Amino acid sequence: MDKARLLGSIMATSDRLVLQRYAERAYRYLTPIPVALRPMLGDAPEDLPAEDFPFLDHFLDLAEDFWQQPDGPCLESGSWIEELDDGTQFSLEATAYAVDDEHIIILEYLGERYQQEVRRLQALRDKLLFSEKLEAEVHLRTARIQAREEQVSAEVSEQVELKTAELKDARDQAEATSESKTTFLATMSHEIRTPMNGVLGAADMLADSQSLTKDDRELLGIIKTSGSLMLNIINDILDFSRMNSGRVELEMRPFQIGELVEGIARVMRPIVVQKSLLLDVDMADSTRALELMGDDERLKQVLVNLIGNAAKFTDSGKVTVSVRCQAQDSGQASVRVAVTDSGIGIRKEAQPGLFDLFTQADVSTSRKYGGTGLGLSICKQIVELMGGEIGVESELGQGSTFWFELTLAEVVRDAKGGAKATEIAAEDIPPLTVLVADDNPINQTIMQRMLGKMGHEVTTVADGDEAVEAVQNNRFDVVFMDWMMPRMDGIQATREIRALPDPIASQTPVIALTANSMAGHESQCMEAGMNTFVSKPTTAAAVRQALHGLFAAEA
Amino acid sequence: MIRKKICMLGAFSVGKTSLIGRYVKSIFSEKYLTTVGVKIEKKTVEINGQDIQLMIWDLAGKDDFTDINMSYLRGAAGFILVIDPTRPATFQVAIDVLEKAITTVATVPVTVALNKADLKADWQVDENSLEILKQKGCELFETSAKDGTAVEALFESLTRQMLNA
Repeated sequence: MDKARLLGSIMATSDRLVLQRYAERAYRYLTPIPVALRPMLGDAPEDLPAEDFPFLDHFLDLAEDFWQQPDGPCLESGSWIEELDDGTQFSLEATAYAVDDEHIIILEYLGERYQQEVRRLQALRDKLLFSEKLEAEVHLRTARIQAREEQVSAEVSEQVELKTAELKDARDQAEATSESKTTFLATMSHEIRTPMNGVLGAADMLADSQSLTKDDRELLGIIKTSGSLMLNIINDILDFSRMNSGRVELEMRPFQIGELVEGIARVMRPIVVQKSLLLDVDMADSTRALELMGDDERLKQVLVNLIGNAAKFTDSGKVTVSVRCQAQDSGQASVRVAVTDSGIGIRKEAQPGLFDLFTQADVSTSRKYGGTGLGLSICKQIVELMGGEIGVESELGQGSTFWFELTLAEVVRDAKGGAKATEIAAEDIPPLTVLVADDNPINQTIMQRMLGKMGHEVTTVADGDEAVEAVQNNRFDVVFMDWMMPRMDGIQATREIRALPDPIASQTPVIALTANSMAGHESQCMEAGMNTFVSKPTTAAAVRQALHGLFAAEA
Repeated sequence: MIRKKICMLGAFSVGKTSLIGRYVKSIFSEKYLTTVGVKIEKKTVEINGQDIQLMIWDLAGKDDFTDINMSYLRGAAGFILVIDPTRPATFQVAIDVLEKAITTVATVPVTVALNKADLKADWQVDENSLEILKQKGCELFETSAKDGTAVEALFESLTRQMLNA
């Protein structure tokens, strides 16, 4: 018995069919066809009907290749399913062997073993699938959360952009409103200052008249006082506007604290004395000599305000200005200035809001004593701008102390340093030929008479165009130039004078004389080529000061 | 009659057997029965007046335990690559299997089934993988073995490509 038949007899009782190849794709049955395979292959031992079964057919092709050149002990098909036309399915496995010269195929019916394999693999894949789907679910949810987050983020960004745009619009509107307010204030200031120039200028000159009766002088005093009061109110409003729009810049100069305080005391004393009050200055000599660097003009403004308030709210007794140097260190000095009065005092509960805008202790105070309620607010802003602190100590009926503290740099001078301001007399200035350009006839008259009294020869013109023409055709030592004039304003006229071909005419000094006294106006005048700036309403002293600055050296 | 061998390729449980069931027998079962080994389905179609017998080889899907026996691809005239977009990992399996199949067999027409279109809300499409498949010349179909969406079109397109190849 050959090996193949021996193998066949061993397998005869199993679910395996043993086939022996005797020619290409031709096989003889070495075992009976297993009962399980008979519905597929039939009962009779005839040649294998491979063409009816595509996978078997495919396997036989592979087996032919294998036998040509075996690359292992056998060729396994792996399991497969054959399905008959009636739907009956057979699970099979085929193996091809090359045993010496014999070529054997074993076709095995898997049956339950196939099902077991299916169940085993299914269990593994179910676990794998569960894990994979869980991972996919997590991934999906994460992506959805991210998408939602991005959506929310985009919505928030959109809202922020919207709100930013709204705020920008609101800010632009507020700025436009603020600009309108500033323009309004500048216009009103100009319009009020122009006639006030006439009123105060006329009163100033009238006071020099010898023919006035006592009654006339009293009435004249009322005009001057009321005019000055009105001017103070305008100045307060302008200051408030400047502070509020952040346009105030400090001008740092050396000054002596003693001179400053005593100078203000001299100026304020007549007002205080008018109410039968005393005005004392309490200051140590060492403090008096202290020279500091700061904006003395602004400090004077604060002192005038505080002393004026003290006098206003005190009916008897005195006002004391005390100055103390609290510390000197590393070239800096801390100074405390206090203005104490014996006046009506202030309720405790009213004190915290005193430095707020438009605030007075109560409505009746405002009614009785007047005032805009701007003064203390302006003082606070000035002191804080200088890095200092301002406050009040008071009790109702016991008087008040308004104080401020500042730390300023000390000025160190050599023995030659320091200059004392002197009163400028008319004779310090030589007689001049003066051109006054102003469209207001009253102002023209005032300036003509004021300058005439000082010994100057005055010519007047009514607008910038005429001013340029006058400078071109005549020799003037100086021009007083109004800003707001018809046809050509003072700024343009100055530019045209500076551009004249005649070198002497083009260098004629020009003094701005204008009611435009808002922040920035002076610098605009200087940029146009003017030499100095006098604000309306003006005084003879201010005019003399301006002329002295230009001509004193020649005097 | 012309006979053409088509091999269904892809990861396990992407719906290869279900697509064949829908195409050949117009049936669908929600119950998942894993395929072990190979099962071949036949379907005769008529294209341009010509009868073509499609021998559709349903091969066990690739997983961590089973790799596709590349010898089964011998003689294939076209591949259908099946992806389940509710499982992003099946995109990469599809690309790996396709590259291996192309190396084993000569380049043949390939159509791609983005299956389970009835669950599209849960799809997580890997756009990079799709781009790679498009660059390899694969035609893409969004199919659903469950409701039959684009299943006929999937097989018909491949058959026409195989005839023109």
